[in-house]
Amino acid sequence: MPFTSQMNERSNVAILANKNSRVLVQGMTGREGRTFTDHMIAYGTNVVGGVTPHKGGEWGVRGRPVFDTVRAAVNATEADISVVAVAAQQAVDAVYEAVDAGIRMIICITEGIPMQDMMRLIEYVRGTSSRLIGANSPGILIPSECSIGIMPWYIATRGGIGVVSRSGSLMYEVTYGLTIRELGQSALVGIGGDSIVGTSFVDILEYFEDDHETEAVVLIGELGGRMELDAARFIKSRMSKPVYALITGGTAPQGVRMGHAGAHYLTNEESAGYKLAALRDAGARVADRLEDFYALFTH
Amino acid sequence: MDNFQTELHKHTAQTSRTFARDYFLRAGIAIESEAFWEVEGQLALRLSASNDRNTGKVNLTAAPLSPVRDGASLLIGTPIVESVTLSIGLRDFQARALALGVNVPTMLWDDFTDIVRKLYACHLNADSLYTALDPLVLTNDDLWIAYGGVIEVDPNAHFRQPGAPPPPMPLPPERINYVPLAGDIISVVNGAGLGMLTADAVTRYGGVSAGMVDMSSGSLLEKLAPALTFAASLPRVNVVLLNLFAGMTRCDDIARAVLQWMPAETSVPLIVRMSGYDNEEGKEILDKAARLTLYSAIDLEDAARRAVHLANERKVERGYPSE
Repeated sequence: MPFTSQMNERSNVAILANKNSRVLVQGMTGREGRTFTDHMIAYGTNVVGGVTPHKGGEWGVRGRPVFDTVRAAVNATEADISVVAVAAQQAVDAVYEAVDAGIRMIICITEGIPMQDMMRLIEYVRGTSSRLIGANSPGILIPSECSIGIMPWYIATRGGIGVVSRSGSLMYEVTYGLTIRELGQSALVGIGGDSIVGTSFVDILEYFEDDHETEAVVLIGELGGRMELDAARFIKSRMSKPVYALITGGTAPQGVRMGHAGAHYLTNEESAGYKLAALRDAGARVADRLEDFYALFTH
Repeated sequence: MDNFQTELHKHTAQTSRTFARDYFLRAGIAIESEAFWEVEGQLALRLSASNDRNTGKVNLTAAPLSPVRDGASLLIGTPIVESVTLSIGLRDFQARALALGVNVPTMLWDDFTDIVRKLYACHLNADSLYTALDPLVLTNDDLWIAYGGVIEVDPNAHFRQPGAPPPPMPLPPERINYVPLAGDIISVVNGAGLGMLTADAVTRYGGVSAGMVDMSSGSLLEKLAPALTFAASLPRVNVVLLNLFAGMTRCDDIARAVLQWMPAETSVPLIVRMSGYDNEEGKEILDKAARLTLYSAIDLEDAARRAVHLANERKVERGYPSE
């Protein structure tokens, strides 16, 4: 597809989200919802409203309007991104509602959604024009533009490294480490720690490869599933930019779930060691401990 | 493993079996749960359903088994797999493909299809991650008999599965996750990724991780004390390693909360490693407190090295043979 001149000017990660993105928060009025919405607005994110059934008509965080339904919120605000941060038992319904209202990108923060519910949901979302990130995602942060989700804002600084991770806590840790080493980031994307998620490493690597602001990519993976192996194949065949990978969970015994619903392996291909080797073979620079990981950037 | 955990494990295994047997029975599949030693038959199978995380489909697998001898059977030949798209559901042709693949006689295909349908229904209705009839035997009189049944309910769906057996471990405080491993160094973290990184570091220095107590997201300062108390009270634990990325909480506040929690005469040593906002101030507060069993680490490698060293010392103190 030929690029329009407008697309040429704007970087790809800024298409994913930018400071003009109109963001809704489903679950804004809960205790945690209020806290992170406040942080999002403080960072400069264009939060246009919240959705909480039975609370429509009230005023939420920093005077943002609350609506009963996503459709009503979209009609009033033209929101195109929604953060879902409601309890696990309501989260699936909340994502269906956002897709139904035509939200372009849905970031599901909620953790603990039953697997078969996610399988049905993802099958449905794939047939629509919406993109689902998560579940169990910490969100997306574009330094100096917007923070959509629950990431601590101070960890990031603008620069050329695209960061994509399954774990939230490790992404904070690593990004902060990059920032204090004066290695800025173009975007941070948390794809979520569940077994089955709406957006994969490869989906985000494609954005980073095509994005003119991103010069290198940091990929933070773990044991379980084959997303890192798909990423290795993509890196080998399509990536021209350097990829730095940190893979954790090398000590996990077979079959034990390591905290994330998706972090367990049944076959050798799903183990951390196998993934590390596959990424190394694909040309990525790899490490399995923090100190070695940062050293990759100085050698 | 100590007696407490072994007993708990046995109890859970028994409850799981009872849960699966009752569940299958309500769906019209009787599990012959009487002790069996040898089973004669023309065919033995493991018929299972599992969620495929990579495709988002349910895989139905028929795996041919050797005849049952001494109460056990072995996988022989290649398992046949059919993938079911949830919105379309199981189609009869897929059950026939399984039947053909494992050589079920043609005139018994309808009976077999019926069993596959019931198994698939149980898998969905029970929110199962793995459902199996193992072994499922076709007797010489052309009768299908299941001698064992497994239903592994998704922990995230326990809230809507009454009677599902609880996970086999000491229960952590509310909104705190606990992943038990076999060792004696427990990490207390705020995020599973950080927990895995910590366990990896402990292993590198020759220690054995006792798993993680994960406070995950939410208010760190509120969860800190219950998480530390739970971790320190676990059987077999010799060292608690607190590894945090402070996120929106400041490290100096965390340091003060740690000191406030710390019992004056705690016997389990605590190692603290923090990163994030104000981490230098946080470390200073811990260092100045100069508690005997508290060690504030420079980085994760330092913390892990120290944890392994202290764990080995404690093992000797408690009379474990040194390895």
